[in-house]
Amino acid sequence: MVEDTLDHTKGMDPLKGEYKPGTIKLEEALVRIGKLVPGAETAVRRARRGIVKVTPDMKDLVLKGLKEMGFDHFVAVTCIDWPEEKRMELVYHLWSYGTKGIIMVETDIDRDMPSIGTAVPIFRPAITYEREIHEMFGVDFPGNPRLTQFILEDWEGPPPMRKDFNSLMYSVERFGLKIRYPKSLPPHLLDKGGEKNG
Amino acid sequence: MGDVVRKTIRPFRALRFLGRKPHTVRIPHEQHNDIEGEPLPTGRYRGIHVNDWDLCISCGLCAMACPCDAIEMIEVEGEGGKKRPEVSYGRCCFCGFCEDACPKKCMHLTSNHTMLDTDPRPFVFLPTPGIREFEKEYVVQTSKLCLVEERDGKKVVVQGKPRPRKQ
Amino acid sequence: MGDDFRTTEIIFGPQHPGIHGNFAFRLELEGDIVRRARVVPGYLHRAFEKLMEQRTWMQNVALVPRICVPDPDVNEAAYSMAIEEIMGLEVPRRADHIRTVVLELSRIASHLMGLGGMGGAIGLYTLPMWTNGERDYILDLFEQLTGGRVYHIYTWPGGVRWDMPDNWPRKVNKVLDHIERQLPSYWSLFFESKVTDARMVGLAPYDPDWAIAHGVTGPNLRATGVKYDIRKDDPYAAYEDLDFEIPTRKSGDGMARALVRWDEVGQSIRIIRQALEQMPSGPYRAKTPPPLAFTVPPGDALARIESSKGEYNYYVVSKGGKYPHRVHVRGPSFTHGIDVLEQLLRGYEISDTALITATLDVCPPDIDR
Repeated sequence: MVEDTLDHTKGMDPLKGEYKPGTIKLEEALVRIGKLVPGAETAVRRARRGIVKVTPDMKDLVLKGLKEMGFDHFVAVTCIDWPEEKRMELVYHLWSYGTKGIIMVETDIDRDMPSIGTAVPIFRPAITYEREIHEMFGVDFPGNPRLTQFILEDWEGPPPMRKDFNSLMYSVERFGLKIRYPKSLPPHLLDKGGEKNG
Repeated sequence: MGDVVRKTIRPFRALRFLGRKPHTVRIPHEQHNDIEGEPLPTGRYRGIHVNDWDLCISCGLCAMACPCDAIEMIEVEGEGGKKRPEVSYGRCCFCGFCEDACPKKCMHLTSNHTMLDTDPRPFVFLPTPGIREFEKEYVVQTSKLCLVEERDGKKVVVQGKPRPRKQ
Repeated sequence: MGDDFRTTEIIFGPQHPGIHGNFAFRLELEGDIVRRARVVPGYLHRAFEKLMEQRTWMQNVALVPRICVPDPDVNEAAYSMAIEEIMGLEVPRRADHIRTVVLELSRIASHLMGLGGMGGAIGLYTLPMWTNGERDYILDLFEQLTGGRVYHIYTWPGGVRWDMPDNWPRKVNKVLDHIERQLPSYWSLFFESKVTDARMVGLAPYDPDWAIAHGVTGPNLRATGVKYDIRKDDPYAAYEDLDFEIPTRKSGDGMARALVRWDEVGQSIRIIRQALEQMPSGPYRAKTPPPLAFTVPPGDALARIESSKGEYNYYVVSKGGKYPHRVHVRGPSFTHGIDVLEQLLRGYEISDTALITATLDVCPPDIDR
């Protein structure tokens, strides 16, 4: 069961004060994270954008450390499929209201059995993003209580956002899609005999 | 007390709307104008396609630029081997990239936007200059659009005129 | 689920008032009170992220506005800004100002529709009739500038597609004058009514710490007192040159969320007038590679925009070449519409379901893409 953190039958706490944002600078936050986490590579991309690259087992340490420094707004987590390099990359985007900067935390996971610990105990909004990545890419997040069906209903095929799923050929075979002008489509999708259709 | 009286009398001000012209524009019986009274749609509106076959060199760039795979180049009998673009309105999203990509500036999107028919076949048609002839009508007549059919392996025009009649 | 016979489960179907789109709930009701809510998204899934990998960089500009219907320019602008950041392309100042005007007009149109949605969820159907009628004038303006009323396909990498017509700034000012004259009528119709007070004051409140911990952004967060707006904190387009304020409220309930949107309409009108006055001359597009051979060097970028509903992000990854490798669209309703909504609906009556959804301004196409 998912724990809900607010029960409205009891009402909101009117004595809660104002929100106090963190006040650290972006470059200093990156330096501190580089010291805190072994094996982390940090870089400043441009004003208000920083990157930290870590191994998957250090991910919890980095996320907790950044949250304590004031990076408490969880923007999104993105999954990118790199089939030639045989890896999947997860990028966590965090924003800080006080520092006014984004830090992107990048990790690589294995492509054949992708799995990484959940970020829900640290950042609650990750619950929906991980649910979507589980459905679209097939990544497992042990510890996430809501890895149920999300958007795709009655879907029996492979995880569709992976690069090995050819959605054009799926439409041609399943629904008889007619391709009117093959040159307007990417050639690598049509390699599998697509030129002869339509 | 004064508040109650005021809030009881105030809703009757709504009766002033009985004397006003309704906001709805009854197209096509009335002309749709903008806030200054000038007619709409303007020349920039992205509507139904028109293509001048005298200028078209059948390069196929319109078909390559289309993001929806809506244009197919069809070889029509009587055009000397040149292929002409055929647009499918089941797929077209009216973005106007075919007009931007055309090197001879023969493919245009006019400001006509209404085409009605119970038959789905006229919605896959070849844009021709004939459409400019009936641009003043509000509804584009699907019986005048250029349609082709395959007969003995060749695409023959079965409806509509590919080119305007020479004067 | 202990007491199985106390609660009834119903599906609050995909078509109902107070929503711009299709979005269903599974509600477990005890009498009239909602005990547990589960959201059923997916009715509007069109697989944009996969489709964008199969079209060239410029062809995607025609796909992208269809992700969000009330506020489509945000998508085009964010996509273009991400590509410009990867390529290192400098957008001319005139294009930045035109983009600002288009984005703010889209924000006014979306807020008018959102306030109308709140009125419709209460039962006051006069308000959506009026606000959608005013929105029609804004759509006429868009048609004169871009060629399309709802999906503009106008902002693209490098600048904008065509220049403004010469008489367009005058027409924009006339439409803004007309909207400003109508605003007092909306105030006395909606905000001065005792029915609105009874329904919306104290509806689904939350405090700023809870909101930030659950990923709430945009006007929903400003209703709790956090003065945060991407236009001021992470500026883009021409917002650094313009003078405007960020309205906030303290109470964090339904009425505060409606009032923040009301204030933002006034601020947007101010921004548009300044941007049109200060419009610089010059080119409206930068020099870009030809659209059919448009390649972007390898890299990635995150573009952020303050849309009328919250924070909108585009994360674009390029591998070099003609097609994008990955485009991730993060709409504001991804956090508002699922986790936050499921928690806020508990303890309220079923007739408040549509109203809470309308005050949070949940837009289902953002979730499903």
